[in-house]
Amino acid sequence: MQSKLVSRRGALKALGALALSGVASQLLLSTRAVAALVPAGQGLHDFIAVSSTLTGKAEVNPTLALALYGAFLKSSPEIDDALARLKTTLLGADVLAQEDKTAFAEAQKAEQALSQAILQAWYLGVVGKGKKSVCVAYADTLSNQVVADVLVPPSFSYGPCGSWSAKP
Amino acid sequence: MTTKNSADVCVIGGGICGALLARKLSLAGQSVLMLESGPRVGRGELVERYRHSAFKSDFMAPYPFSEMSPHPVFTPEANKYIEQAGPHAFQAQYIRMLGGTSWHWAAQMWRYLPSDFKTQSLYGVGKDWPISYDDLEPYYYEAEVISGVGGSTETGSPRSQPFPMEPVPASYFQQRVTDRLAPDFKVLDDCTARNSRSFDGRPACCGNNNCMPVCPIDAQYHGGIAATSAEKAGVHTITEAVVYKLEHDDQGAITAVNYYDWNKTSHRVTAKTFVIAANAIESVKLLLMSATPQFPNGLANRSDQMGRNLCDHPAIGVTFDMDEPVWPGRGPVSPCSIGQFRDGDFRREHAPFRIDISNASQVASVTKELIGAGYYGVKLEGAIRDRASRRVSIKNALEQLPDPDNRVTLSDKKDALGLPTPRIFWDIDDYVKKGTVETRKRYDEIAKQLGATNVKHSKEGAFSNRQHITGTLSMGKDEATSVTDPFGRAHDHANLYMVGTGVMPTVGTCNVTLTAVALALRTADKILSEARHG
Amino acid sequence: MKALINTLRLTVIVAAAALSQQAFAQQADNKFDAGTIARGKYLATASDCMACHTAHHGKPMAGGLVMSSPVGDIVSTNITPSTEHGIGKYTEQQFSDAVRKGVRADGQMLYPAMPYTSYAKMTDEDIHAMYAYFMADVPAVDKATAVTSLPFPMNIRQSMKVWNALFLDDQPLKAAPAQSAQSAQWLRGQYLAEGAAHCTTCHTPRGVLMQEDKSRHLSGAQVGPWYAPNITSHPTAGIGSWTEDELVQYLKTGRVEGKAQAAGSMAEAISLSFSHLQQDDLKAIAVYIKSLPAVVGDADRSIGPSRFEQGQPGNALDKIRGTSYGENVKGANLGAQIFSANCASCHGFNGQGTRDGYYPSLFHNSATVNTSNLLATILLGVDRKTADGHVFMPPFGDQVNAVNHLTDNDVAALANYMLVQFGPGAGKDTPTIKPQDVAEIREGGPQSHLLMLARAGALLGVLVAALVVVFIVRRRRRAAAK
Repeated sequence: MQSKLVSRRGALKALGALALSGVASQLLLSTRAVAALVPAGQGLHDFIAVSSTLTGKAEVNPTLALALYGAFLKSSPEIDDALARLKTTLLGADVLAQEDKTAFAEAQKAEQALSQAILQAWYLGVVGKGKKSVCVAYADTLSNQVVADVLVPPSFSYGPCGSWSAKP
Repeated sequence: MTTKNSADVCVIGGGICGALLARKLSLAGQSVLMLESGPRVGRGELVERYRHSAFKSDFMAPYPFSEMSPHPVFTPEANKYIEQAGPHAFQAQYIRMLGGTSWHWAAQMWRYLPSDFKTQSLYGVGKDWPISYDDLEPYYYEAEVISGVGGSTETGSPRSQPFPMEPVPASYFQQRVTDRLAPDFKVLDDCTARNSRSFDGRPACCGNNNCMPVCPIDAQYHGGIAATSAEKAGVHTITEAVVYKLEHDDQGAITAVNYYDWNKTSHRVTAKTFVIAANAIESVKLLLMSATPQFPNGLANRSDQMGRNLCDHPAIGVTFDMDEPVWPGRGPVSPCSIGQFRDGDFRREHAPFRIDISNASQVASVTKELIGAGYYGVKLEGAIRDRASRRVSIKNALEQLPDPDNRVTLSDKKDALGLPTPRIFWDIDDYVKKGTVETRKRYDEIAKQLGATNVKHSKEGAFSNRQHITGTLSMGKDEATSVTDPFGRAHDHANLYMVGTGVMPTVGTCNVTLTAVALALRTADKILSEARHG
Repeated sequence: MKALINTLRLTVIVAAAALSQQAFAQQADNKFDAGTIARGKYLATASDCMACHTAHHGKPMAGGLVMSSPVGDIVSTNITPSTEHGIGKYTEQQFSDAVRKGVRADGQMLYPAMPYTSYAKMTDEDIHAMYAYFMADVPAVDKATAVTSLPFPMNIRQSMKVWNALFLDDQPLKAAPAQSAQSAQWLRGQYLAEGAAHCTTCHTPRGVLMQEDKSRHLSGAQVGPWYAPNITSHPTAGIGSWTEDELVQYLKTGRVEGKAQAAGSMAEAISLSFSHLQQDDLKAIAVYIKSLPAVVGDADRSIGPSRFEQGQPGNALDKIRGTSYGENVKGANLGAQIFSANCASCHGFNGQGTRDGYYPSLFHNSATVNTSNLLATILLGVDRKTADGHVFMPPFGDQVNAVNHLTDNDVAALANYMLVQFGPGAGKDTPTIKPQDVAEIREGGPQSHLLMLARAGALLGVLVAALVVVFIVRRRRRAAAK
């Protein structure tokens, strides 16, 4: 399926459209279905592809993807180019050779930083650094999901007083 | 009769000490006007601000900043409200809002040890208080009953009555750590104002694990609850009222207080008695700002001790991964501690300390750590689960000795209302440094007993602040070496009292709020007896 | 010697006093034996006298509780055996007349806020036992209560005589021929449910004159700010989907997971009354209630999911992240923002509750289907003590211990969000709650038209009388003029 390279404005419009369509955050669609849903730009596609690779998940939450991508777009207008470069880099043989840690080369500092920023976005719900940081998601971030059988995110209740005495 | 502009008693500052003193006076029939520089903010908004915040480990993030009633900000960038003039930055964090700084605490309500009141006589260091543990004991209990305190009976602080609240049950994490560290280390339940059953119309703790920065359900006591109870008792409260000057007569009696509302309009309030409860830093600022030709060094400062002897509990920490999954993050965030290094003859040589074991969820911090180390994909998830289940985070509270050079003064900078901002000089003495050497030894022993890997001590020579600010308004019998008398009354001004942690001459070896509240209740009794006898 | 005589005198006096005291006590004891008193106490518990006749933080049975009724505030009376301020001087007949006929010892009528219409079914033996309990075992409290004064013309108590004549069935329960085939257990359940437990006084809808509509027995009715739901055996509109054991569990603890939890007056009834009844009696009540004919009530749909099966987990976080709290509360997502700020920490950010159901889920929960109960729960919270423990949800209204004081606007937005997210969902049958609906619940529930009608009726009566007088006077004048 051919998709045109859409302008930044187009991508933001797509964001709005999906938000208005009120897709529930629980809904998990395959990346192909997401692509079919909205006339998205290449940047969003690359973001989803890279996110999928870095998080190791075949499917990523499309509402969250849209929101995170939107936050990246807001903080750095050149994000689409950076995402394209990162996508290419990850396809290269060495970076993901190890199962546990990435192995970026010296010359790939920018790609390494972006890969960590993307993981931070999915796992901690925060995009950006310092004063420019914005929290896009909290309760439904990946780090909270990964321990959800044992813990509840702070500020949500665990259970009746004393229920934490039992072995988890 | 309280009007907007006059009352029997004017209380400056609506935090936990000011509010509980105001409440006690009002219940006894005094008309009380309480002025708070900050706004009234609802709990729901604070909880949401926490969830929206990009800086979840910054406990000040949920609390809105205002130019009109500014507070120090350090994350993500320092706002330099406090001018740091000493070798160690005093990273004070306080909230200027109705209810004050205890909105974002872990409800630690500890009694001092009896020897904390007389370290000079016993160990030749620090200062003796002008009162004893026994003088304060009934007020400790009164404060515990109001706030619903429960905890260990083995802290070393004698009790005439049992705790009014049953302790919150220990989490699996606390139980495992306690068992593994025994018998060399004794882990005790902390003394906290946290509901283990519904009390005072508020629910029991249900494990939100968010005590700091804000409990979503008011299961723990805090200044906001105190302020509400003060209003229910008839205290007239005005928020967004920034007091900037006290007026006095020729005899030094305080006659009026001036405040700006947030539209910068000035108002004048008169009263018979005045109580300053604006925290150990802002109270000093106000009294220094109120200098007049008759009192050129500021009010209540003929001794030149105002603002001096600033102490906190400097803290160092350690983190490591225990050898079994124990899952911190279930239940309250600060449930237990080791108290066996708080007292003893060694206090002659080095600082005593309490060791606090955190039960805060470690998920966010291990996630950051792992992403920064290059982890990704499925392995990242596995590593998050593994580390979050075994990460132990410990810090301490070292007793710092009062040093007159550690002080709060006024800087040359002005805030949006044209009022000077504080300047702080703070240094760490050898007494504390020797204490940190001892602490590190203990940390290493603890880590070893828990089969720890990945042990990381906090940076050598660096200390964090625990926000237990004392000394700047020290009470004492000798007018030349103290600011207030044993009841918190200013030596130089017969109708001016001070409450809050600032009046405490030493910082002891535990959290300071219960002691400050007990002193405030005792000061309230003094004000009432003065009012009765004219 | 003098000292000895004085001591002797003292001894005699004390002994005499002790003897006469004992005689007195024996006299009182002889009147009622311990077994009767205990039975009376059990029946008083089943009748839940405590709930209305004890003020908040007041002494048991000493009255003074102000109850908002659709026609005004009613204050409960002191029913301790105080001779000055209570029922200490009541004979057993007077006690019986009050409890079963709604007539006070001084001849004045009681308002049916006192459910004498149900207690009318209790037997003479049971009334005797209750009388024994109140006279011998309830501590006398010598304190007067405030006097009920309803607005005109409801303050004319004699009008209750007419009402009673029309609507009071004052015969104790007798086994009707058709019912004699029923088991002893069913009959016992009927006796308790229709009599002491007075289920019908809350759960049966009332007509214009506030009489129970017997054709729609137990199909649901408004009780102040709460709605007492349909408890007939209808499979979707009522509790036809419940087993008898579930109903017993509900009466014992106030909770059946995934179905319902008690709040308001029912929570009180469970805490003070049902949770103290014997297992056999609870089972009997369950057998009886479950046997009743199915009726579709005013608030129910006759088809479609029951009130226990509606809604699903979910959130609208994507609509409120990225914008500040201050912005969110001004816009269309106020409801979602209020939910996240106030409800999500206990009830879960997806409304799923806690794992063990301690804090219930908000979907599959009858509280988020009925508008009154949703609003009342938000504004008033839940407070229920049973052997299971203390269930407590803090309020969000004007109370001192409210976690947050939510405005009518806030609560309306929140409730609308919840009805769509966790309740019936978006659709034409789902009501839209307005701030004035919230205000009405906050003030104690819908007011009855009865007051207005009674006043209109009285005014009409006065007008008619005046016209008649004018007519007569004119006729006389004309006659005189001729």
